[in-house]
Amino acid sequence: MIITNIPYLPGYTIEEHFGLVTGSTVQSKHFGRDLMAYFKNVFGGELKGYTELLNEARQIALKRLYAQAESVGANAVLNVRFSTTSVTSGAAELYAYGTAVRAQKVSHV
Amino acid sequence: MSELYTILLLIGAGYIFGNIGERRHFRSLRAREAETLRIPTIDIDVVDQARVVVEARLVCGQVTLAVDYFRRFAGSIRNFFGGQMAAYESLLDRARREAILRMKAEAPDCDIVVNVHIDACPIGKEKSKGRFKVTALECIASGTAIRYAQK
Repeated sequence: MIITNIPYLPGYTIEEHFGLVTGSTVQSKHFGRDLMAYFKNVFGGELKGYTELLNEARQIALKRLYAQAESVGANAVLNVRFSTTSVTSGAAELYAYGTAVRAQKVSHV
Repeated sequence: MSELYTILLLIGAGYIFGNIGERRHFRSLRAREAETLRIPTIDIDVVDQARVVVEARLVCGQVTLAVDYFRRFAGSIRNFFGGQMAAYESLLDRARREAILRMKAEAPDCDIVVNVHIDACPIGKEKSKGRFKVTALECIASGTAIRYAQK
């Protein structure tokens, strides 16, 4: 599966469009991580636990995006965008969406 | 009275550690930006048509940064009078640059990263009743890494 966030695929021709495919997930961290974030708010700096959370959320969202794209018979997803929402305290929704297409590699002479 | 001391202590700790952390972060940002200068990042989707593209793939980088207690305090005072909130500006700047650097780190062998989008979302704990409120900023940078065939 090829994923890009540009609306075309260099070196390939698009043969068929399958429309929008999406993947989303809501993730949260355990209490300890939230507590650490509380302390970190005094000193400032990176909240590693939440970065990790975002990373996992992105991977899960993309996995669901792949699954949906595969189910419609696509081999590439173009123009992928991410969007995040903080649903409630300590939890984040990550939403990935893109256009599923079937692409054929152009043979270079 | 002890309440006041606690707040003063938190502001002091935030000021000292926040500034040390920020200075260290800016130093590391500058160093890593100099290292990855070889890979340009642009926010439009142009690919050199004259060259053969071997690989095009999505790359992402994300970071969550918290603002320290002193800055939050300074920000709330500034918010009352209005004007430029420098305390938060540096946070946004750091978060975006860090996210772009992490995105670039996913594509060490690529020639260019095109169509870079930066999405920022504030994480807030508005509902908490206590003194603490988590105010943090999460940033995701995404782009398409392009690798050209060697000439």
